[in-house]
Amino acid sequence: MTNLTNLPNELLTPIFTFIHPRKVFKLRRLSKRINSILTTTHFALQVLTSTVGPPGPHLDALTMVMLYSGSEYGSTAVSTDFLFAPPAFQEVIAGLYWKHRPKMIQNLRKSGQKGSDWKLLAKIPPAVGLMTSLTHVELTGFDGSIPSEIGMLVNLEILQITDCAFDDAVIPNELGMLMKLKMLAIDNCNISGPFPEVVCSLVGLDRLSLVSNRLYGNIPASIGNLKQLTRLQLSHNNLSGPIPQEIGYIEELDTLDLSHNKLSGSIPQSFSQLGHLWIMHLNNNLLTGEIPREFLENCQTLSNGYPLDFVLTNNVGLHCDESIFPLKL
Amino acid sequence: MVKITSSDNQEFTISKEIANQSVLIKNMLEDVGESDDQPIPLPNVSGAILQKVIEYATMHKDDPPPAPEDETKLKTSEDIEERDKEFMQLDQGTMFEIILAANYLDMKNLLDLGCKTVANMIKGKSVEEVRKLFNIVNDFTPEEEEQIRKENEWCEDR
Repeated sequence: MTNLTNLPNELLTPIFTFIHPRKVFKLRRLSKRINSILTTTHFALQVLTSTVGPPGPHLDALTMVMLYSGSEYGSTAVSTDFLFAPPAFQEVIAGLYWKHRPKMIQNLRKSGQKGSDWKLLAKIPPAVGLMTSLTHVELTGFDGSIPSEIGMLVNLEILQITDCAFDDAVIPNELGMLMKLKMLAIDNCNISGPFPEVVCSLVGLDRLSLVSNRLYGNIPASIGNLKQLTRLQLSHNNLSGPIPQEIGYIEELDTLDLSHNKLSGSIPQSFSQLGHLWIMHLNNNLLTGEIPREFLENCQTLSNGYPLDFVLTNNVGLHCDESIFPLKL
Repeated sequence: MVKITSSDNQEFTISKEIANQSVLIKNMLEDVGESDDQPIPLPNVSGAILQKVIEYATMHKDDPPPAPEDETKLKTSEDIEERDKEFMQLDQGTMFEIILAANYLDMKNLLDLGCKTVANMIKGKSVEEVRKLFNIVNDFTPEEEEQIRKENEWCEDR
């Protein structure tokens, strides 16, 4: 008897396109052949076209509503369905439906829609790299690693990845392609390895934060390439070696947080050049030596403008001439 | 009138407006011209199925011509006409034969009707129920199925 399984693929595809994307993927489990049909980009485009409409910028909001299962729809949040669907489906959504979206903000910590016992653990889909209009990406609570495809988002100005349980992830070198980046924050993401020197090529950065990871080794001298930096935050890592004097030549720097590392040596003389410094946390390191006189004189000048938030406690042997400026050690 | 023959050599004589609902037959008629009264062979369709297809085409012979395809119109399987629903109350074997025939004869409306009917049979059922309904053999190893089940954690209970 002729059965469903006797139909050729080109007839099975239209049958499944009548079933909404939110419900069709569970049918992958029917059989190998049906699984292979449902996981193609061809099927993804067909099912989206028939249930949501053909791709185009006008459909952006609609696709989000149709696909969104949580409570935040209408916002810039990406549908959690998108995050879990087969890669082919993600590629079609990202590359055809969402390629004009400027923002992607997704906090998985907030969107556990299945109750407290079900933890949302999603990886950052490599297909995100197809959303080339993105200028602003904020991701929280992901798993896996940072996909190198992020490097395709050449219009990105803000990239913030926080509180992600990456397994020993590294920062991909492709990040160096993001020449428009103004703010890069990868905080509390279990990033390991030596200081990712690639970030030092992002010369437009205004803010760099790699707080609470497992970075080790020296801070490279090339950090001084980041002439536009106003905030540099590298606290809570295992960074060692001296503080590079090049940091003192980043003229606009107003916030410097290198606390809770294993930095040694003394405070560079060049810090006397920092004319906008306001927050400086160098506490809980292994710093030693006399704090340069020129720097203390600079502190005196700076403190005339605004109260300084300078913390240097819990180092091993710093000395300060309190008659010039009393820093708490 | 047009003569057609099934794979098992049954001959049917049908009006041209019925025949023309099949793009395949329509094109063949245009190719051979008016004068030829040789029957058109349809080696992929049995007499029993052809009978059902002609029944469908007769039922729809007075339908207005289809509106030009609107790309942006969303598709749904919920909009089946009552008479079509009744027509599709068939055993599964016949239903799938009709879908194959509609595809071969290039009858878009009938093919659509078949696909919608099958989709509606799938909707609302669990994977196990769908497998049972259509005799689909689960050819995954337990490990492979478990892997997909894991990937599908977000949608399994929908």
